[in-house]
Amino acid sequence: MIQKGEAPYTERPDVTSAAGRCRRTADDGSGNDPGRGPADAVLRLRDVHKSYRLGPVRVDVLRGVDLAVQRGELLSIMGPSGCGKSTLMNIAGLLDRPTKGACILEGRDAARMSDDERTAMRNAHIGFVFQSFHLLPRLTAAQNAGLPLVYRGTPDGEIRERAAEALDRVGMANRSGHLPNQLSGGQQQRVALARALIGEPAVVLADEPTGALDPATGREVMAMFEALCGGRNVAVVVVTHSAEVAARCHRQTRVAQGLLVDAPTAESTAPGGRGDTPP
Amino acid sequence: MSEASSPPRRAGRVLSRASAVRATAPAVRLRANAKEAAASLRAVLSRSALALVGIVVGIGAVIALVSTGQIVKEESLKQFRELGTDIVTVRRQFTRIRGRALDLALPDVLGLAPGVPAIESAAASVDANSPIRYRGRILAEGPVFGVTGAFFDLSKLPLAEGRLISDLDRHRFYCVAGADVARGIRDVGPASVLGERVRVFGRLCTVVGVLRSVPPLAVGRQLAPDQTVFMPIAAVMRAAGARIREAVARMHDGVTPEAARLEVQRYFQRVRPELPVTANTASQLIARMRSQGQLFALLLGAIAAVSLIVGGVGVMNVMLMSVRERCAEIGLRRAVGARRGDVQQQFVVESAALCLAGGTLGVALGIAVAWGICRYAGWPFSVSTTAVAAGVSVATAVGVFFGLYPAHRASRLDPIEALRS
Repeated sequence: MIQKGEAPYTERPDVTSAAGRCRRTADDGSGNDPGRGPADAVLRLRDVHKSYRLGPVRVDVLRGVDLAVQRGELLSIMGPSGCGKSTLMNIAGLLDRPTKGACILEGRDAARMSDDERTAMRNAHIGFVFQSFHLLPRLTAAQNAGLPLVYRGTPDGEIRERAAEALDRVGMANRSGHLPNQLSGGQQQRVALARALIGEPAVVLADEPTGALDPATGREVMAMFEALCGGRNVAVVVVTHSAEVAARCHRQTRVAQGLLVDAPTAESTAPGGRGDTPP
Repeated sequence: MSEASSPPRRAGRVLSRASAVRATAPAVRLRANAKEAAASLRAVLSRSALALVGIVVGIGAVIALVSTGQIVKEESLKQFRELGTDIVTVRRQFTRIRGRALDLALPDVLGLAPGVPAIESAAASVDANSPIRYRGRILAEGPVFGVTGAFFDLSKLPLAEGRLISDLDRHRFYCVAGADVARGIRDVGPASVLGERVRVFGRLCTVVGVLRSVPPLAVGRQLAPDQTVFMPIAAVMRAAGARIREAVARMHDGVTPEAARLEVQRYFQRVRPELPVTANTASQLIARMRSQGQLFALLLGAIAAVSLIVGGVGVMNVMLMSVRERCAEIGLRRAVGARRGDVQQQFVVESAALCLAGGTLGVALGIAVAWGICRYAGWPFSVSTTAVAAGVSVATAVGVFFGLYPAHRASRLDPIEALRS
């Protein structure tokens, strides 16, 4: 059954363009695993448009993005500044609503949800990792990590327990009582990762997670994402400017002219490269 | 068939997790938000403390004044009750004839009891400033009271030894000493005070009696009997040029206060038609004091309202600044699962907690000030529990009211913009 405003993928009009072809690849739902169909996608964007009005000028940031992210998939989104990567992430993270199109998380269309429902969905299914960590400066690492559970009404004891587990998972168990300003950038990002994971989300959305880190620390963080995808079957979407980071992902995409296109890096397409490895 | 209309089975399991989040009891969320609010407040304690000054001063002033006012009122009422509700007070209204102010005349006051059937006895008193010296030592700073014989009975001043002033003493320099004055004489003189001579108005005055120690009383004016001496009224009028402005009278049993008051007023109209007087019964004075107390309470309420509004605006300002500074935090909280209501609740709780703290400090300050005033004035100390409860409640209500707008602004922040800030 096709609902209003949900044009079937095969009827898309601009598939003849290179971008269109690439977009079809991004939305084929199979990723690198031909055995999976679109129905398995944990997060799915369908014909997502986003426009802003700047005075009399209408700016079309996204012009029909389709994307399906599978469980356990590590996906990169690249593109120049201002191309709409963050807008795409905000829509995928239910922080923003598309002008047109659907954002389906765990089978529910976020466009039809109230603000509170979207918030609850975010809390339950999405973990965020930001470039600038966004740790609350007066809270300890454990308190920062446990923040999403506060809004679930989880008892204090359980929050402490689970925060300790989450910090242990990212190798920060011995720094649980430290404030963010007592931690290095890499350590802060690990705490942010623990916060993203504590609610056992289906998807982690990471906006330039290595942008503020040195290359070695950035590689450590990426290794954690890889482990997360493989070990816990969590989908991770990474927005990045770094080709190196993108190359470590199972699938690489790029936002170009308001569309999401496949953009395999040399490394991932090379024989034996990471792109050949199933998630 | 679209995915949206037919979620996969696994999605159903995680959806129930989302539903559980939504179903979290409001009390649990309130507790969580209150904890977050407390943590935020601790972080900005010094700045918050400055914003609280208005609230602290407002509540403190009200508690101090209400408690003191209550104590003063109770004390005055107690004194009136102790004096008896059968007392009529006569005051001359200010009148000038040929440039000269008219006062009550002693014969007119003394004529009240025989001249007015409703009146049993009447007394007049005057006071004049003069230190009371004994053997070169100042025993009390004064004032010295000139009284008629019935004054002691009407004021219920008990005699310890000797005799009281009589109307027959006329201009003689005799006095009845208060308890403290008598003690002062004994300290440097003989054990028996009677017959000793103190110096008032530059003349020697023989002590003929000593009063028992009594608390201060309000007979028209504040009077501390222990720290003064009482002389014949004619002597004080002649020595110091004092005038009678007031008299007190006691009515017979069975006479209604209103009837006695009218009779006294008619008597003065008859004997001194040129001098208008006002006669008041004790019950009238008590009622007037009560209405004055209500007016006082209204004025206090107005002062408190202004202070609380100023304090509330200060708190609102702090909260608005806090919202502005904590944009990123608000954005993050929204991203990780705080609903608009949670953000709003957190800021309202912060504001209310801030004002509650201010109110509590204000109550403590007010109690301390009231205690200091009572100690200085020698009044028994008590705290108006109603004022304390009202102070704390009103402060909290001010916090909620003035926190609503900043909280609303915080909750309406776009999480994306907030995270970017």
